Formats: sequence, C-alpha cells, structure tokens
Amino acid sequence: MDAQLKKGFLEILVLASLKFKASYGYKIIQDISQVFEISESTLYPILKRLEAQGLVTTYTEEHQSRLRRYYRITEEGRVKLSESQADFEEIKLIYQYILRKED
Amino acid sequence: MRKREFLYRLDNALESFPNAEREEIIHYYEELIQDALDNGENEEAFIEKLGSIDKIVRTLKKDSDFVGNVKEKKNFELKQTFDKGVKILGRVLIIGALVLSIFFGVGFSIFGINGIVRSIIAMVMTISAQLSVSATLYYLGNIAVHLGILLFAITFIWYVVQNVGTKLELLYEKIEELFKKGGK
Repeated sequence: MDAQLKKGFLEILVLASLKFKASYGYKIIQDISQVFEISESTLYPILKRLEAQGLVTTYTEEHQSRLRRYYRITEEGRVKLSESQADFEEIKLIYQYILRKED
Repeated sequence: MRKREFLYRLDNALESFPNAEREEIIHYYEELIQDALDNGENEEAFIEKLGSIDKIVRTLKKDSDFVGNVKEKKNFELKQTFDKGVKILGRVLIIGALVLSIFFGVGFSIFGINGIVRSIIAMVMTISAQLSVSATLYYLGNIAVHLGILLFAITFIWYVVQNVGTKLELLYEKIEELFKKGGK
C-alpha cells in the first residue's frame, strides 16, 4: 500500500486493536499484522501519539516477574474510532470514483 | 545482535532525548524483545527485524516533535477554557456588585425621602397645636439628616452609573489578574 495512505491508517488501526481489551506492544503488533503490515519500531511512535492526544491511557502490570506496559482505549479514543466509520463511507466513494469504468 | 547489545546501543543513540523518554523507549524495546522471546521467536532474527538503530532513532525524533506539539496545543486549549471561566466569573462578580450598589443606593434614597416627608408632615400637623422650639429643632434636624442620606444615596448612584464603564472594567481586570495568578 502507498506509504502516505498507510500512515493515516496506522493510528486508527492501533486504536481498533484496543477496542475490546487493553493490550501491550508485542500483542498489538501480532494482532494488527493479521490484516496490515506494521513494524515494531513504527508502533512506539504511534502509541505515543495516541497517548498525547488522549486517545489511549497506559498502565503497568506485572507479568512473570517483569513489568509490562498496557494500553487502554479512552472514551475519546472510542469517539475517534466511531468517526472512522464516516471516513470509511467517504473512502468507499473515493474508490468508486478512482476505479470507475467508462460507460 | 543480542538483546543486551541492542539495548545498550539504542540507549547510547538516545543521548539527546530527555531521560524519562529515553527510559521509556528502552523499556518498550526491552519488553518487546522479551515478549518475542517468550513467544518462542529467535532473538537475533527478531532484533534484525526491528531495523537499524539509526532508523529507529530518526523515526523517534520526528515523532517526539509531533508529541510536543500536541501537548502544547492541549495546554493552549486548557488555558483558553480557563480564561473563559475567569471572564464569566468576572462578569458575574461585576454584575453582582452593580446590582448591590444600586440596591443600596435606591434603598438609602427611599429611606432619606421617607424621613424628610415624615418630618414635614409631622411639623405641619403640630403647627396648629403650637409647635415648640425644641420640636421645631427636632424636626428640622430630622429633615437635615434624611436630606443628607438622600444626597449621599443620589451621589452614590451617580458615581456608580458614571463609573460603570471605566472603574468596573478596571476592577474586572484586577479580578481577572488575581485569578490568573491563582491559576498559575
């Protein structure tokens, strides 16, 4: 996929991965990788961005005697996620136009 | 590269970052690698996959600017909300002061007029039944006192009305300043 387009999707994709359950770095990458290619090094900045915008919060939990950082979606994050529904409709229209055939 | 070497090199490459952020990044990668190992991934292969340390640091630098901007914007929004709150509070206080001033002014005016009218009526009524010197003095004094109160009240109202524009605006600004100082 086009890099520019991909960048726009990543934030919302990471949010979507937290939709049902708080998660942690490695797990988020594994989940997203099923539908979209994401590297470990791109995830961190995205998480920081989401946190700075108040779309996710973090907490630390002990896991096998080490600390693991969890990310949880906030109400604002959920709003943002639901807004992507409208984006989807728009993108659909755009692609219908891009891929239209001559009649 | 093994985990320890990778983290050591990354930490060195993050020298220009604030300490808290540096620690957070290191912790992120440490946790990530450990989780990968726990999941049965090959250590060297996984670290290879993370990409070059140079590239990681470059991406982080670009983004720490973004995060900084967002934080600044948030502070700005917060400040605006706070300013708005102070403005509303200031207006409420001023309107309150104005209402109170007029209330007192009108109250004193009525009190003054009432006293004068009562004294005059009492004097007129007692004139037929011969007004004594002391009684006359009493009533005249009474009139004078109430006239004084009336004049005071009128001047007060006049002052308030005259200064609504300037003095109260100044007061409002003072209040605003006070709250801003309190806010910081």
